[in-house]
Amino acid sequence: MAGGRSGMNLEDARREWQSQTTLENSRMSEAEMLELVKHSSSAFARTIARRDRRETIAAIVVMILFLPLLATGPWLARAGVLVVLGAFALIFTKLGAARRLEASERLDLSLAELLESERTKVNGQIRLLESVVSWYIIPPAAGAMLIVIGLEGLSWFTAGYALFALAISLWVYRLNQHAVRRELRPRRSELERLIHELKG
Amino acid sequence: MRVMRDADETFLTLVRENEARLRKICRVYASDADAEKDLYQDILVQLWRALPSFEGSSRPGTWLYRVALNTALAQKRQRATRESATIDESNPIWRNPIPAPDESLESKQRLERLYAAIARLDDVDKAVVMMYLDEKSHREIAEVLGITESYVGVKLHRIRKEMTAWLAGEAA
Repeated sequence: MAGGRSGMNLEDARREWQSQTTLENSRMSEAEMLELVKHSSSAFARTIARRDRRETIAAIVVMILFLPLLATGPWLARAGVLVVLGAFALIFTKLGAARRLEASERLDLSLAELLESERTKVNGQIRLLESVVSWYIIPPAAGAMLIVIGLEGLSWFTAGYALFALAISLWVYRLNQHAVRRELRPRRSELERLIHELKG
Repeated sequence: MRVMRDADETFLTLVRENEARLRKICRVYASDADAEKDLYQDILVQLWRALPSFEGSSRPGTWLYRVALNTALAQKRQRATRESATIDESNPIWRNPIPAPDESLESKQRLERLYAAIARLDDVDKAVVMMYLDEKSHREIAEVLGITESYVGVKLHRIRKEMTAWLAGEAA
């Protein structure tokens, strides 16, 4: 800092702080501001609605693809279809619940309440991704495996498919654990740092 | 239609009366000028989205501080876990203020020093000191942060000591 400046006490600081005003020439018109804020807000709602629509369509496509097999396939393949449909229902339910919780964010809470609620959410997300094998990977993979065995029997094709499914499952698992390490754990640490700063 | 107009008017009044305060929050929590603009836009959008809960709020100042502060800290967390933030360069909500002709250089320098001192505090203490400078009561600060009034007093005591030392020290 350059020398020769006069000192400032907290009362001076208060006066300086309160003397700051927003100049008229720095403002946009109120009508423009309202339009932009409404547009940004509805864009967020549209994004959520689009994602929900995409997932519903995906669920319908899965049903359409698998239902004929359920009616006419061998019993093992039929059992596999049931497992796949059940697995998709489980996945949609779990993801839907997690997203509803995420979207329930209320920014008018006190900082302490908000941080605690976010920490709970992040812990839930970490648990969800760490247990991805049990609800996201094994159920649909097991169902698909039953379908392949039901249709092809124990063959080289079935063995090849099993290896392929295993590779995909490992890749999906690693992706999820990467997200936990790179995004969720740092976010939780940041929340814990803030809670510590707040509560001492 | 009438309800919509009421919401518009409530929002505009809120922003009009608190614009300077919101910009100060942005300056304290944003890392640079672009982030400041981005944060300002984000706070306005969040204020708009939270507006239904404003109607029942007994203390508008507390409500506004909560939404603005929570948005600022949430954005900071998101930035911390993102490689780079998306800045809308053409952000039209924010226009850079043009200095008024009578704004003295000394006053500007004093403000710079004040912001530099605030920047040395942690994120929670920054919020405490901003509300202190805005002459908010211990009770209001406690309501925004969700801690007890007596703990606000403890925090303020320490922060005031630090700030006093920093502001005096930087003048030397």
